[in-house]
Amino acid sequence: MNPVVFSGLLLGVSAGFLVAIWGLSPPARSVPLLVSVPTVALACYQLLREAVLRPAGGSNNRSELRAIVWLLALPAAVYGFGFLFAVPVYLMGHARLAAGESWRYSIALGAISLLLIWSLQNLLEVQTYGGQLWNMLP
Amino acid sequence: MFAWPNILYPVIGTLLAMLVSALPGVSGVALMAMALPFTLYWEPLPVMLLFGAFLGGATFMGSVTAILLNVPGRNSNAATMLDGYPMAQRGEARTALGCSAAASALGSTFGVAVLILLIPVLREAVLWLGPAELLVIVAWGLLTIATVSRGTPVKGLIMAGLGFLIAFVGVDPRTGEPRFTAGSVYLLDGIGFVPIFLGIFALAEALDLMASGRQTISGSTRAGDLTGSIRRGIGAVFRHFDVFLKSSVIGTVVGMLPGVGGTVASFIAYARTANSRDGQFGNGDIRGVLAPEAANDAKDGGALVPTLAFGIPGGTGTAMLLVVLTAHGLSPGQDLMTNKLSLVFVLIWSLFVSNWLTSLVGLVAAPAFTRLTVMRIDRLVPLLIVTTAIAAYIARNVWLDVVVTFLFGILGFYLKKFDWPRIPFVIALVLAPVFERNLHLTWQLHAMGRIDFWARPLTLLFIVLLGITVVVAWVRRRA
Repeated sequence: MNPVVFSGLLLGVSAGFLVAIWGLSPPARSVPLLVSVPTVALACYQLLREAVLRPAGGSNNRSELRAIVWLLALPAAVYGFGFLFAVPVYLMGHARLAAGESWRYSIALGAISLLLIWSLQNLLEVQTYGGQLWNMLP
Repeated sequence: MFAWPNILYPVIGTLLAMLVSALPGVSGVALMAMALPFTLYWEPLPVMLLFGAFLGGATFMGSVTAILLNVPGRNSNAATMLDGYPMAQRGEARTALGCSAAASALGSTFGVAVLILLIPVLREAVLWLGPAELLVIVAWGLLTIATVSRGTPVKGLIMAGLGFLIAFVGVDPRTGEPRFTAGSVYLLDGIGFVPIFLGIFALAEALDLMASGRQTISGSTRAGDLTGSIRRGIGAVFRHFDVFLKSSVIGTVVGMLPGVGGTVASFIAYARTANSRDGQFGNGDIRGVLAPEAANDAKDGGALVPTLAFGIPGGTGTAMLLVVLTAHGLSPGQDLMTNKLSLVFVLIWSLFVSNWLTSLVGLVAAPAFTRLTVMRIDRLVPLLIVTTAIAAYIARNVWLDVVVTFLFGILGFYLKKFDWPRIPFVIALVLAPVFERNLHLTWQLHAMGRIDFWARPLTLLFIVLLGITVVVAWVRRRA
């Protein structure tokens, strides 16, 4: 991702809103139109400015990509297995694989988090997401 | 009121509120809801003492996580992290916490004092501000912050525009038709503040920390290396007493406006302070902690005015208080303000005590809290990501809130990386409903001939201020 691409993405989002406005009835259209027209105009100006002022050199940062993968791994795991099982496995996996912690530390962290989430669910009666995979079991 | 065991209720209420507000996604309002069934058969006096403490006790703990981890405990603490977290990154978490605690205690004292002094005349004052005035005040605050935030003013204005557009997702308040929902039932309720705030600040910061390769938040691995001091933080409130006073006034006045709430109060106070010529706002300016904290706590006193006098709550906390009062057979309005005025003062007293108690406990515990900033990032960040995900889910028990949080986390990371300001975006998000509601009202009232927009002195005054703000900001940029 480089700044020009990012500016282009923001322009795309604001232009998407402008296009969607035409599907609204005239009374509902007024306030969003008042905001989106200047936003799109400014976003176009900013994109041109970025494109002219900065060369489009990419920032292919491996640590950035790695961080995003670790970040997205959690919701993916929770979607499948729910908080109760995904969180301990995620914490244990991160501690062992990303932080290079010992097995003993990683397992202890997983066990403590399992206990905490279980307490949150069963003692404080806070509802946590159960995961989709368990629903598929007979 | 001072008899045993009445003296205990504010203490228990404060400690419970502090404990609960330290849990992710659980607020003082949730605590009030949970406690209500247990108090239904109590006398009104202990009820007022307990719920007054709940109302005041949760505020400061939200600031602690905002400063140390960039995770606001409540929406109204979001403004504190804009400068509090950069201070923690510089190793000055203790200074920020000291300033936050002192500003909270003194701000709440200011709000309570104003409430007591002005109860007889406030009814008239609140009625002076109509939709036209509110509309111009919101526009003024937003334009100010968009033009003075980091990056270029153009980027600030684009982010404010995007904040508005995201806030418009849901149902049109006038026609009731779905707006920008793409047929999704989830989007009919709009995108909640909690997932956006958690994503754009907490997760974005977690990503940034992971990608940065830094060892700790403060850059130091030993607590002894931290340079900040609580005393310096407390002193900052007195060194910048003008900021404190201005923010407390903003907090008290905004608190009185029905349906506006602490988030708007703290962001407006931040915006007005960030308009200063010599600030490093967004990079760890102590005034960026002082202003929202003073306003956020001062608003509690102000918010009680419309709640108790007219039965119109200023925010979620006072709305819950209204439910509690009604459940105990107390009707806000003339009856409460005349026949049962002593109960009103009991509530005010409890609010005052809980704010001071929270700040004192917070100050004592601050050195322990700041140890989080010397914890290894590869140990801290996964915990932060997990806590954020749980908080995003349990706020509404909706799975898609977690997805939205993570999407905004990635967006926030790139906004930070490419120097796009996040502050105008979140302020616009908070102010958009207030802006839209008052724009429609003003429009309709003007069209019906009920008000003349251009003949209202307060509106004109704020329009002039708006113009001056734009010109001053432009001149400063040129300079």
